Amino acid sequence: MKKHQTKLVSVIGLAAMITLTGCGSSSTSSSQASSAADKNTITLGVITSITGGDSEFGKAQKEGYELALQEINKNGGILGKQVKLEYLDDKSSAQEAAKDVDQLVNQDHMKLILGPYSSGSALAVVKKATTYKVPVIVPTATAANVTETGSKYVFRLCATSDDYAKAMVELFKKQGDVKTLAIVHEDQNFGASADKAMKKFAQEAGIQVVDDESYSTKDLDYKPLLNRVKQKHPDAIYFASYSKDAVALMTQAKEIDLNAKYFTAAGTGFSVGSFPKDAGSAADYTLAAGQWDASAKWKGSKEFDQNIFKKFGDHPSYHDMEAYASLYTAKAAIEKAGSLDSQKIRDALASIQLDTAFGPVKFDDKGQNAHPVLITQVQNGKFVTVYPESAATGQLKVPTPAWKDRK
Amino acid sequence: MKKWFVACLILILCVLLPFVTNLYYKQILFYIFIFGGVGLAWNLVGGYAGQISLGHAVFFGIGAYSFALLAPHTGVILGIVLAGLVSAISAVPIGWICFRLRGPYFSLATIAVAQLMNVLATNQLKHWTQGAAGLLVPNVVKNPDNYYWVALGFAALAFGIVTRMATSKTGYYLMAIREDEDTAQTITVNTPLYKLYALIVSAFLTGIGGVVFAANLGSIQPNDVFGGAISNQVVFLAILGGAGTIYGPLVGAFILEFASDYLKNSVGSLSFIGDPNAFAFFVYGLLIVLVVMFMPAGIVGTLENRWKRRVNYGIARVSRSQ
Amino acid sequence: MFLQTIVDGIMLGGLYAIIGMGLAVVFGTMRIINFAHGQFVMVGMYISYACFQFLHIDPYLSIGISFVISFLLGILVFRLTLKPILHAPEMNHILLTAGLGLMLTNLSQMVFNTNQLTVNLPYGHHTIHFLHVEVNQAYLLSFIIAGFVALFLFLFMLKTETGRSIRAISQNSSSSALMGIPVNRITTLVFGLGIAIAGVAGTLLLPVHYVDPSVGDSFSLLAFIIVVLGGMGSIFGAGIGGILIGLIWSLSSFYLGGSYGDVLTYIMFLLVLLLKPSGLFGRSRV
Repeated sequence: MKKHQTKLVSVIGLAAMITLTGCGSSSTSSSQASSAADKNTITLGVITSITGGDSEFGKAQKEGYELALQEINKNGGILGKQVKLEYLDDKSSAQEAAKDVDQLVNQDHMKLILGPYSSGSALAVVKKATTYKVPVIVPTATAANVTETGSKYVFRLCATSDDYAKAMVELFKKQGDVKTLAIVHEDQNFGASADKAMKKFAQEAGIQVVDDESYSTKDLDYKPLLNRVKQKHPDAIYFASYSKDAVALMTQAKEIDLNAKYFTAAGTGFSVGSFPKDAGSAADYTLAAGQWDASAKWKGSKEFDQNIFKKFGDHPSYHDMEAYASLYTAKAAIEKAGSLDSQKIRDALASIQLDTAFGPVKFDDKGQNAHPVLITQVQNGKFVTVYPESAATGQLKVPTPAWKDRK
Repeated sequence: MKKWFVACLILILCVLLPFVTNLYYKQILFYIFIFGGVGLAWNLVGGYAGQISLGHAVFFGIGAYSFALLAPHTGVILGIVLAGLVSAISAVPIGWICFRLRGPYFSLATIAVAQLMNVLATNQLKHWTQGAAGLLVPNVVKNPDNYYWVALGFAALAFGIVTRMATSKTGYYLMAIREDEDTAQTITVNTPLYKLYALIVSAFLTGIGGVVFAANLGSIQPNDVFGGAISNQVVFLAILGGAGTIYGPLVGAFILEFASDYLKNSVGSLSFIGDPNAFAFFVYGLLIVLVVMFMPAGIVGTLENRWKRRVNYGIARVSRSQ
Repeated sequence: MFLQTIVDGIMLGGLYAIIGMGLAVVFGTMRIINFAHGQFVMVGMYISYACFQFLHIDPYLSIGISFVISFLLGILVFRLTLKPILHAPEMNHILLTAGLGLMLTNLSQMVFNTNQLTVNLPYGHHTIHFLHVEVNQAYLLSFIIAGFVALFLFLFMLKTETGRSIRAISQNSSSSALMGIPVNRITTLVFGLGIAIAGVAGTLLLPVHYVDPSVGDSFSLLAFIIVVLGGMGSIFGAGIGGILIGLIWSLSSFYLGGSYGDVLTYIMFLLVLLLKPSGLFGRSRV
């Protein structure tokens, strides 16, 4: 009994300690942050997915931020002050992302937030930050509704799922041999938005959507779903997938001999650097609407690719780049505002015009940057930009040969 | 009367708190009130009646979505009431199905129902819910600062209703069901009816909790409100605080929210353990394991037992000395 | 196409069955709701991944390694955490195992980070053509090995002294103790065995699915669905239950659409719970 009591007391003690020190440590961190901002550093708040389902992309974002941070600090910082980033994890959940805004604004007195990875979290962050009148720079979230809440405090760097679908449909129209289309998308916010956008643009272009399938990235087998698509004989298939599901979808399409003239995708899984390697020959000929590629003609693109590779040992995807560019956008906005004041930074962002390695940045009255979409194709295991022509680094190779006709 | 006295004291404290603390703690308290309130509602079914529902998110989500879909047509106040009612009504078929099972089978059935609703809301009901693209939720109050008061009101409402029920005859019937359902049935407690009654009240409160949660979030996706994370959190905090005790869920919510917040912010500087956030959740899991092992009746439950034992011991000593 | 879908379903079902079997052993003997079962499967996947990445051992050859490590891990976890609270209310089991699951998920994240990892096997994407049906080699191999594991397990339960003791305990733990069966030692062994099979399930999954720290989250419920469907705690039942779920999943994905697989699985589960709570192949009503 005695022993039991000791344990009991110790557990209560532990719980009490955690609660108490919790209050203590949070308040000290806040005072540090605010006092530090006054002296010789500027701290900016970053929300991203460090844990949970989206953490692979959160990691990519963090690489982009870290590189930009290093460069900026080496070149004298912002307004002559060194920059620090405070990362908060949204655990890949919108609820946590909203909580993170509360913490960044109320506790750490952040005047500007660099937004989360996923569209779901972004929506929650925008809603929340708007109530505090703190501007948010959204680097990666593509779902259309992120900029459609009527908020004046959201600034999105990347092109949207609408832009992806629009670019892809333009390509189809130019080619002129796509009459039927099947959409296969993952069932979370990104996939759902891509699906909605593609249905709209395909309909406008007179392309018939013959099949519309959603799946969960947790599924162990995609063959029944792909067989279903196969029966409809679509001219083109439009995927919206995260990383390893994209690999599984293409390798299994090869296995069941699912043929289409065009295998297309809304970026993400079909654009990550590891995709051609993981999917092997099944990746060839796939077209992906994306935002950036190391071959892009904007100044600094190549250097960025090399520097990330040097620092982290892998080639970046556009997720790295969007984070990188958004920190530079933040820098430009703060310098233009001339001080760390939410309202002034917001106004600066609204009228900002700058060139980044991600291309020109200028936000419209909804806070959307008119970023061009690049369509890349995997050719012999390498990404080649094929559309639009002005940015193309290679020839479009279509229609996709049937699996049995490939070597 | 003592229990109401303590409750009033806590309520007064909560009313005064916002004037001395900053917005950030108000937000943490907001979540404590929401999940504490939902934990109280869960307690009615899981703690008092002993029916461990692991899918309470289903009512949370039905409430949240009903409000988001109804409020633009009916207005906010009526929307909240209707959302609670829809959630309560949904408890009838759900209870009818799940209560035919007992013990672990009941628990599994409740998870399956919540998961089913999650998948349906994501895919098949996309027409209404917008699927995972997210549905915008109307504001309950104009100024976001005031969500503190809405949540406090909700927690107080939940506390009042649950405590009244738990300390009335109904509460004793429910506890009889928990201890031995067959015996309870033989001593003429209509067990199916009382279990369903508890679930309906619980669903009503959980649904309203979902409304406040969703309104504060501003937009919802199926995973946010129907997901296993919500169901688990509610059960965690109720059992941690003490299932079947009046204050258990509130204490549990308080500790879990602060522990998760503290861990999230305090381990950032420890670089030797790889990913600090993962380390934080590792410790969080460890905390849960330790509490279950050494305080099996939950924090409030264990303290109450000790208190009772001491009193009994005292009485025994007094009677011996006479 | 119908035949192809059936075959796909059965192959998938083999994987489901092996996920369910480990749980069937534990749940059938001790009635513990192990919410960390999926996480133990995930640990098995990581063990085989590590063997492949660092020791260059083919996943199918690392089955023994993941069996042994998982077995020891299971015994350790049981001794340290579950045994002291074995007779506590079941809600404490739920909470404890959920806490353990959280610990395992984040421990693997600390070690392996959050990347989705896969092994690229040279034969992983090859198919075998047979009677107008294509079968993927990796799925087929996993299916066959799962069958052997089930067979061994079945014989172990049926023929060995320990197996008989386990079955006695699952029927009545206290009278087994009176009969001189070392209940403590056997239950520890059973838990270890259950986790070991979860580890093997992870190994068999690795060639066809990615692994990341949160991959196990969805397997726990799935395992329970399979175990309940097949009949409580019977290994044979779990096998049939797994294949049944595989078939339901595959047929509904093909005929109704991609998202219907989960929907019909849950509906089927609820129906079985309602109409035949002892499971499709269970004998006694529990």
